[in-house]
Amino acid sequence: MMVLITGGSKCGKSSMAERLLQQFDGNKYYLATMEPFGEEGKLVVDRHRQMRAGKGFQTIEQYTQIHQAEVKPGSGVLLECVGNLCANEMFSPAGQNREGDVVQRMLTDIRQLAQICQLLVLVTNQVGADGIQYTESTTAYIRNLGELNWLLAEEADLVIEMVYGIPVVWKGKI
Amino acid sequence: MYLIVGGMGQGKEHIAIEQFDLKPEEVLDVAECKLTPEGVTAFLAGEEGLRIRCLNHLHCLLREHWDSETDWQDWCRQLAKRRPELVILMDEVGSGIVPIETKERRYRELAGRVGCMLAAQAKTVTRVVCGIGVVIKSS
Repeated sequence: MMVLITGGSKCGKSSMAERLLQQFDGNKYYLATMEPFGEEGKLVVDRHRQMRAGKGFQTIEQYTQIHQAEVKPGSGVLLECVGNLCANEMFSPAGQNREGDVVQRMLTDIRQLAQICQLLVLVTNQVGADGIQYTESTTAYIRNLGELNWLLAEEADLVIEMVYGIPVVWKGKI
Repeated sequence: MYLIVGGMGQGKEHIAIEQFDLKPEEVLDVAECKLTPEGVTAFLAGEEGLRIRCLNHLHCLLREHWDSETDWQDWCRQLAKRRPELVILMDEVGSGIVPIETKERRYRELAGRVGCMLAAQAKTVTRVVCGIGVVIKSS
């Protein structure tokens, strides 16, 4: 089963994802995609680590090529977040941007991951609704993440948008 | 407390007036009143504040006081406890690129967190899109 959780900044996406995995009986992994830059990045990582403490997650840091994360077949996996993964693939030296269509590559990688998981919860991000005109590369990022989000939603069994902590279900049933 | 959220210009005020039969003098616009978060609580507790049934543009208060040392969890709880029939309007502001500027970023994060706190306390949460109000929480 694949779940996609979207929403804006600090709206409760992680909490919802963890709640969905709470009942999962078996190996649980947290795939962290954010490379912590500077003090603030470290604070975010620490905050999320504290939130997950004692909840039985094994953390794997995987910044690009998400299918390479070594998770056992039949596991429950929380991937956080698709927005970071997309940024890494597009802009980091290890990313796959130079090798053609980054969206299709990410989709293929995530599909591959989904095939070995029993439950895959993807946390993504809404980034295209602030009305600001950005540089070409940021605009490309917004487009790519938007496209990836709808492609993932098409394949997901459950799609939830978090609005100030409240789940709004767009597809499937909680 | 009742919370009405949505993007800018979606018709939150229209929905609030319709749903709660509000008069202009019953609305406190926190974008205009120049009060601090603590000032808002104090004003509502005072005699003049009794007529207020609605706080408009709450996100503007958060933008203005993004670095205040207010205990927001407590602020939200007190508001819900003392004014259980208060209607609060706030924009959704978190669905963009993470701002580089500290102030902008912290404001957005604060709006997200305070929005979650208010929604958790609220009896109903209505989300307005294109003038259409959808109740996303009702107790």
